[in-house]
Amino acid sequence: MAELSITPPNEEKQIRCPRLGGPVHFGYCRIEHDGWPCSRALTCWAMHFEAEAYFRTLLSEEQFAQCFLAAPQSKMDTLLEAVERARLLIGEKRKGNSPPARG
Amino acid sequence: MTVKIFLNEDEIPRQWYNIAADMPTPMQPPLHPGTGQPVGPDDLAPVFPMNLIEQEVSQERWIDIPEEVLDKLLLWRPSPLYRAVKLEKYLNCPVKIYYKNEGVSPAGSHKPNTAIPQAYYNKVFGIKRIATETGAGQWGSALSFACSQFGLEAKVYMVRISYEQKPYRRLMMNTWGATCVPSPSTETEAGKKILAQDPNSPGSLGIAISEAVEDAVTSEAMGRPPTRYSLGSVLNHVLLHQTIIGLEAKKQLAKTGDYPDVVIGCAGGGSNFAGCAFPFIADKIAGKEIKVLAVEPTSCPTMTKGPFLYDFGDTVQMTPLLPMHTLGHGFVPAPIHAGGLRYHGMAPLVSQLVLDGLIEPRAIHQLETFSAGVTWARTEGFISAPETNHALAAVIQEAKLAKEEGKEKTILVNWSGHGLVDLAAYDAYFQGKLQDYELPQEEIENALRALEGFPKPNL
Repeated sequence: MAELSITPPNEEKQIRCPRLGGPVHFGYCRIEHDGWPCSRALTCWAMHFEAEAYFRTLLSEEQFAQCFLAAPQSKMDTLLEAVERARLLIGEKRKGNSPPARG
Repeated sequence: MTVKIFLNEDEIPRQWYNIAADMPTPMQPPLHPGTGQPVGPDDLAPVFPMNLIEQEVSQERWIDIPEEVLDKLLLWRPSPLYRAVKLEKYLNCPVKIYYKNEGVSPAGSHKPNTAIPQAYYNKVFGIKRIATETGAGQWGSALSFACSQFGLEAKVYMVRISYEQKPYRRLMMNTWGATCVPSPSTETEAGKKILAQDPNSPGSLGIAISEAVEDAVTSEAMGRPPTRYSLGSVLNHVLLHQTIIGLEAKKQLAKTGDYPDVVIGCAGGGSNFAGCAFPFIADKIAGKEIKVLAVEPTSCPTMTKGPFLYDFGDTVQMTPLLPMHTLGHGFVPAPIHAGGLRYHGMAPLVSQLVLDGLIEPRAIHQLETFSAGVTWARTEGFISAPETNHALAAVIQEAKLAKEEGKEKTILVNWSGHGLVDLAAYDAYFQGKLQDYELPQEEIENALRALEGFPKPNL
């Protein structure tokens, strides 16, 4: 296998996203998670360029860990966390307070 | 030679098969990470109607399919069982290959098998409206169709990037009367917050789920009609509804005098695989010799390389710990052309059956799966969904194995859906843009280290 470059692909280069089931471009994967890279971006792009090396230069060690070493939430996981958030939202509304911050 | 084996409408199965009743190892309940206690109905009640929650935890072997559900399923069910005679001839192996064609449903996949009963149970519970999220739209379109059949309002939060790039399933949803909005939207607090930060946000599955759940949980407080949420895979009741596939197949095979030596399905969240395989696994539990293969991508090896642990589902440890096959938090799947094969963890029921030795997991490289899909299209004619191609690749492997062994075998595969809305994936294959990727063992071991010290289920 040819040695890969650390230079990222064009923002418009597309691959199929295994989570969405459709095409996405690199620019999306770079900011998918509230402006941070998708947790799967490392592996998804690993065969196209030196994704890990690239993101390590882009992010601090702590940011890298937050982006890539935390849990990639499954649909079920995300669902139940969202239930807790929505319950908090109702509670805040009943108290007449502004909605709680997300996340 | 007969190519299609049909059942009359009055031969449609009238009960679903609940494998939980026959599990050699009883299922362990999910644990709440906050309390360490089993998750109860109250934890799920804000999002699911109680009749579905009862199915989720049921230990009854057979559960009646309501007449109202059967009436809707009869639109396309019983689905035909095909004998893949042209593929058999092409392979020239000593095998009979049967496939259950789930692509004949209105939405083109197996998904409506659970969307219809979920819509029904919501309706009889008094729910008027169902909210869900969708990526490229396979589940959203299936649920939209189901809601239209029961006069329910469907609200689908579709990840904006897919909403803009993949209009076809969105148009299917609209045609069935659903409201499909790009997520993030201005209709939920979660969506508004994201848009306030970035008006051009392309969205994500996580945001869309947050919006759909918020929509459901806050519906009454916000003055909307009673609303619940719906999920198309992973959960026990979803797998239960899908067993109609295998139950029909058993009746159809009985008409041919054949019984499968091998049952094959692709497994992402596990629902289509389980739907076809579970009724045959019941026979295996009773002593029948049968090989049951769950096929997954080499790049996302949850079953073939992942151990069985209680996995923390999220970073803030707010959600239940489900016993699942997992590669741990740090696992990041490689790109795969398999829309449905995207779950971090396999369905707990499937995981336990793997552990019990009743299911054999197998991982296949994506280039091999597309090669199989093209062979299938050029012999049997149907263009398969990318995830379905995983199962077809295993069919070809098993056929060749039978030849090597000099044994005659009967193979049953679940053809879970067509790929007519996923042709871009085939285009990428033909243009040589796809590559195989196998997760390095070192990477797997690093991911699993994150799980050291976590509670493990009793095995």
